[in-house]
Amino acid sequence: MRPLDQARVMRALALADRESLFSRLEAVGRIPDFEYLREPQKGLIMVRGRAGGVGSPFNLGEALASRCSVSVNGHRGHAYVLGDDPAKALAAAIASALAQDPAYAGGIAEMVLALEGELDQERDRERRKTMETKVDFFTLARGEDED
Amino acid sequence: MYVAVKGGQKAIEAAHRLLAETRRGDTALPELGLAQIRSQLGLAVDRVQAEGSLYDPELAALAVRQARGDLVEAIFLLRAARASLERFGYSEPIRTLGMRPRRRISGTFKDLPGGQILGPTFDYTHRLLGAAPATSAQPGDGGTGVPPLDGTAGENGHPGEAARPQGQDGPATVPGAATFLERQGLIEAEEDLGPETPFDLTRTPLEIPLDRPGRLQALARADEGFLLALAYSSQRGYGSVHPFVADLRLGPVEVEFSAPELGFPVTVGQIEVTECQTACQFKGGGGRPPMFTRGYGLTMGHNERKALSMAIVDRALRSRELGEAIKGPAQDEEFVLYHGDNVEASGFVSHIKLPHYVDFQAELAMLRHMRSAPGPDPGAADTGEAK
Repeated sequence: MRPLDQARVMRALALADRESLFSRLEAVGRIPDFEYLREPQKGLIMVRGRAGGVGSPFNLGEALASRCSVSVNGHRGHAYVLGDDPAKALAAAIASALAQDPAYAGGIAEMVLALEGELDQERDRERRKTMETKVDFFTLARGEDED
Repeated sequence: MYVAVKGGQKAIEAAHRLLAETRRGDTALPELGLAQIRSQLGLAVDRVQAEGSLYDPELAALAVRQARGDLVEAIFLLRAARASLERFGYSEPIRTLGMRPRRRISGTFKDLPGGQILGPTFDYTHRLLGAAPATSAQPGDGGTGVPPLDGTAGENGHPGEAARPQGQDGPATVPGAATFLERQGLIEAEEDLGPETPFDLTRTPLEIPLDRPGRLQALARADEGFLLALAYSSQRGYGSVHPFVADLRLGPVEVEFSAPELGFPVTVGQIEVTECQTACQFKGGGGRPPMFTRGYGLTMGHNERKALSMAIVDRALRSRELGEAIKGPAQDEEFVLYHGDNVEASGFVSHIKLPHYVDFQAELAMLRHMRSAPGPDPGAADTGEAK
């Protein structure tokens, strides 16, 4: 499998359910020794919005985040994930580094696709429930149109 | 005076122990878990996140529990917690149009693209207090008394809409209601007027006048009750904003962050936000034809009343820019921005509970001096004084 774009890999890792990420990373294979470039650390990201949704940017408020950077087999992996979760930040950093290692890239790509699939499924479930609350005003409009 | 302070230490320690005991309540009952607070008191957690200006449901739940449910105290706790943390940087602006809404309604168009999605709302409930749902619990309904939604009923029939979400811009998202008015030039265009680095209240002290991005930041963390009262006053005539809700939506958005070591933006997670777009009458002026103008509300978490109030106050605060007469408190930038923060407000109001013995003695001495001094007796005309 072709290596995936780094931003796509990091997005999937950040949005992944932590337990699923841990078990899938273990399933990729033996994790080689790694060195910390930056140990897991928590901090803040100031989240910005835009006036009117599309206009001038403004600072909405901060979100708690964790970050970690590692070096594995000479490849650097960085991770930023929302929440206070050093273990997830570490796992994501390792996976992010392994994604650049030809020996692991295929396995990581498969993992990323599986995590994306889980996310889509979860979002699909949410959406189906939500859509049951959709008001059918359209029927009224069609009725008026027929007059 | 120091004698009193020394004597106070033991009492203060005892008060803290008593507070801890009172907070815990009846030890025969299990302590509330943070997961319980997060999942069952979600709106309390969301308010604390929005006004604490720190998104983390876990920390907010902890604050709610530690504050014994006093949300303003919990907000204070969260603000204090954030002050001890390093700032990694600023996110890319979130794309609320890319939201996968859990709720989306419009008060202006009944049949707009994307439709009216009620979501988990108190609207249309009967506000009948009671345990009826819990007592009529059915097996498999989680004690709610209503059958769970399993998503099998599907949507109310809109052919051509794909069922599967396809990322942020896929059909799981809905276009903004204001877009249609904007295309016809009936509502002012919302443009990115900058600055590229918006004012940051957490870095720069508040100064009046403040540009709209600065005001929006202050409003996003302002007290819900304060904004609600201002919005209400404006609707009732203290000001002129009584808008339409063009688009009100709730749902998760992805947060993208461009870390310096990466140099490109990457999704780091998602947060839930509530967004409100209002359309407000404007009779024209300053070279602009009559058109609808915009107010905007955005909060972290599910805070619908707050987002709506914020949008009304945002529009009211644009009065100066639009050349409207300043007639009400909601239009007064200095009044609104300096008094909306409940951590500052409760701190200043509450500080008078603390010992003011010396100040009071000074005022008492002055009062005695004034009354004993020769000259016209200020109390002489006051015959109604109770004895």
